[in-house]
Amino acid sequence: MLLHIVRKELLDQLRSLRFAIACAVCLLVMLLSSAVLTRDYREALSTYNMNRVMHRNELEQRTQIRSVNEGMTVDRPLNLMNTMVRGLSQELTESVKIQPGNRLDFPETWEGNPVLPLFPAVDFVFIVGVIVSLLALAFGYDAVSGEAESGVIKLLLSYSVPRDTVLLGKWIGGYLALVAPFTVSFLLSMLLLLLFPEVEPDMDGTLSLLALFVLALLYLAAIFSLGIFVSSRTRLASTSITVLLLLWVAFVLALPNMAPYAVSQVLPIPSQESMRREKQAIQQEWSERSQKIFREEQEKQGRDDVFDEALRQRFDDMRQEMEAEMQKVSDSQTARVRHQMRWSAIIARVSPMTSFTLASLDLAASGITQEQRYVEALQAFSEKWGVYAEEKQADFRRVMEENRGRMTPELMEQFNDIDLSDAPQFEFSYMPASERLTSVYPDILLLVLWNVIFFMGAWLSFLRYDVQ
Amino acid sequence: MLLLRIIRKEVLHNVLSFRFAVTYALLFILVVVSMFLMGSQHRTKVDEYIRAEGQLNTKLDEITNTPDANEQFQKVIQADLPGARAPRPLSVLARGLEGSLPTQVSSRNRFVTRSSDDRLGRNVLFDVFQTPDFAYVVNIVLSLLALLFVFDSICGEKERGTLKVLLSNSVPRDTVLLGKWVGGYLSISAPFAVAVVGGFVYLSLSGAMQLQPDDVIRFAAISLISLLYIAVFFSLGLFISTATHRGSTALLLSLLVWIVWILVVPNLAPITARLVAPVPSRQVIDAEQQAIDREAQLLQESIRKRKVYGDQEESERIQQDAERKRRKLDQFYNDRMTRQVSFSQGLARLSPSASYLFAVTRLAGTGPILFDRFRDAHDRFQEAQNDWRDDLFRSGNVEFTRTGPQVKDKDWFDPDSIPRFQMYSEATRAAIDAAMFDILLLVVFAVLFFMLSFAFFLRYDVT
Repeated sequence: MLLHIVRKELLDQLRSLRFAIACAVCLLVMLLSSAVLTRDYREALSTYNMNRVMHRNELEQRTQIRSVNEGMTVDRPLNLMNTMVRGLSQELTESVKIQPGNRLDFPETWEGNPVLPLFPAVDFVFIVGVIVSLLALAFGYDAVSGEAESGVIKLLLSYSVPRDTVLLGKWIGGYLALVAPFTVSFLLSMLLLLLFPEVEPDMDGTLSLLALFVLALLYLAAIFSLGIFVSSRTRLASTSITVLLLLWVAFVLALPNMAPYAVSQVLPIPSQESMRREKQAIQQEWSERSQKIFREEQEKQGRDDVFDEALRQRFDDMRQEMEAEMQKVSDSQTARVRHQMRWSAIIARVSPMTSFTLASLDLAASGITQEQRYVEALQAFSEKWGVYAEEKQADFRRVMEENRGRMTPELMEQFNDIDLSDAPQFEFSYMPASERLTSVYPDILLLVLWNVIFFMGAWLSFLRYDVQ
Repeated sequence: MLLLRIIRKEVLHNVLSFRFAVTYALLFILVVVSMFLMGSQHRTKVDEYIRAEGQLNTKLDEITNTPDANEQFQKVIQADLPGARAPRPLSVLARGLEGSLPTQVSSRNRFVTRSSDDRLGRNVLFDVFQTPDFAYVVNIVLSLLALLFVFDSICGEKERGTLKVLLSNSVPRDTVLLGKWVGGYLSISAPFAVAVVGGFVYLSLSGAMQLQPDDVIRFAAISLISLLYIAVFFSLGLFISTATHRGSTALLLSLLVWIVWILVVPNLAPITARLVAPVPSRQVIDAEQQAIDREAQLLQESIRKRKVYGDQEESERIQQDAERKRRKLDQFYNDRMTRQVSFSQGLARLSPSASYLFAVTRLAGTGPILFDRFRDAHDRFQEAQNDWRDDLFRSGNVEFTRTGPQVKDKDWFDPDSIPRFQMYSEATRAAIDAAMFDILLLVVFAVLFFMLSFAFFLRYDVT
């Protein structure tokens, strides 16, 4: 019986205009986006390779000892998943300057094409999250109310078929009709991706892609169930599509965007500048205090050169105190940012769209966790570079100390044939697939929950639906 | 007279419908909530700006009040007198690129740096989704609501059979269509106007926006462009309705057009343009410039070793040559970038959504022009700061001795002479002129769709 209904529903859908539209939209948009983004990836790959060689050459050509202090530039490796999910960063390539003193210097966004940041990228997340979800509503909105209007459902239920079977059949048939064009387009865009010789899929990437696809199916199922739910609560198809579109606008277009702004009103965080000012104030206080101590000491002892072991110890302690205080400011800022971020994500997750988007970002290793990993890796590398630079300069420092800072050109000449070709290389690997999968399971559960809620709602409503 | 009656009927029909009630509620909520949120966001930015300026002033006061002139000089040399960038008041309506720019630039470091604190110390969820400002609400949401409003105005009446009755009276079809357009447009634009006025009142009363008369004009212009944009989609919906015979078909076609035209075309345009009109990365240009410098340096060094009379000239020539080459590279980069930008804009303008966004951000002063203005202001600020510092040393007022600098004239310090960071915004007139192309494009789209719907409705089969 169920099979009959599924078959009928499927045939119904396949002959409809919306199926044709869904096929056209899915194919067109996904292939177009895949082609454009993969070509963009290819360009980025060549830029990345060029930049890497260039930066390495630049480093190895240096001969002057002073140039060690110029730091070095490293490039972020490309992430193949960015052809599907653009993620947080606008650009696929990024060169970060490692400055001495463990400072990182990230590139600015305002140097490039100003039209780019005005528009969101049409990637897989955007296509599924916004476009295909709208199509899912178009598939579900008249499942019950449309048939009630045309009277078909009266006829159908006059047979000895339980209502739950009817609903389940409708769900399966409609969902199959929805995901068929989507799956085909997805597979075709994967094929298109593989046509590029630069694309070398690995195990992690393939697994994440698969998980991404399943996630998309789950999200679409939730939206489709919502469509059936609303359809079985209304008597007219026009009413149900109105309600659905408004819900869609509110939950897909408005809520995820507005939630972070609303949360930032309730849980404000001070700006980076004010934190920097606070740190500067601490530093200033420290330098003034140490100058004062130095002067007092000079007056007390009556001579200029008062720098002995005890005083040095005292200054070191003060310095550590200041650094600890500055670290405290940073930490409290970080904690507040995390807090705000957590609550924004929680509030925004009222919409399934947020769960889908954030989970996709994590699966593609281009989301929030990834960002933290990347910056941490850079910081670790920066420390490594610092140690290396110290080692390179050790001899020079020693000679400098021996000569009390007065270096003759002949002495300098000795140190001006350094070789930096053994400098450390920046290695960075994206999160392994297993880690990505474990980090997204709450969102997957949430999507399953939405599915169950909407389907249960549809079922309860359909059981008492008045078919007259 | 007849026209008025049709308009009245259309408005009444709309106002009494369920669709109107929910659409109106959603529209009102979205417009007002977006203005509220963006207004509060803007206020915190303004507070931040005021605090930064205040900090700078206290620093200057402290320096002014330093009794010892030598110490004062020392402090001036060491101090970083940063420039704070004032946020654009109309970024409340269209945030545009406002968020991509730093809010403060150092006076000591030529390069604006972004540390790992900047990178991690922010709520990245702001970047995951598009900013829900007024321009976004109108651009994406309102265009959809306009289509939803009008998709069955012709074919729906045909399905119900009322169109047949209406046209059996002695009323010309053009009057019917015009009446439907005006009536329908009024019933969506009137609530929109109310919401905008409500938002405006909120923004001006709450003090979230410091409104100059100039800004009010811009605000009004942005609202008018939004109304025009709604008219484009209203005409498009009417056209789709006259081209179809069933409400459900019209709805699906409207959604299809909306998806392709609003979501896909403008958003794919910039990346496509980047592929078609590539620009070498800034780093490559920088590396080549460095190579030029190095070459010039080597040449000059070899000349210096020769120690022959008249080499000074040759050395200068080499210097100038290198400078020329550098400039040429910069020129090349800028040309390529301009080409890419105009190409992406042209491609995006295939969709009225992009035209709308360009026009509105132009008026708000947050569009692509903001990057240029910021670069100019930054360069100007750095140059002025450098000149000012050079003047301090060159004025002959200071003598450097072993114990530190000695200042002759004791009150040499004038805090007002310190150059400030200043970004000039475009004059309102100029902004409107610049946005005119996009506005005209929107008018063309609106008229085109209305004409098409007219042509289709004249031969519409009402039975």
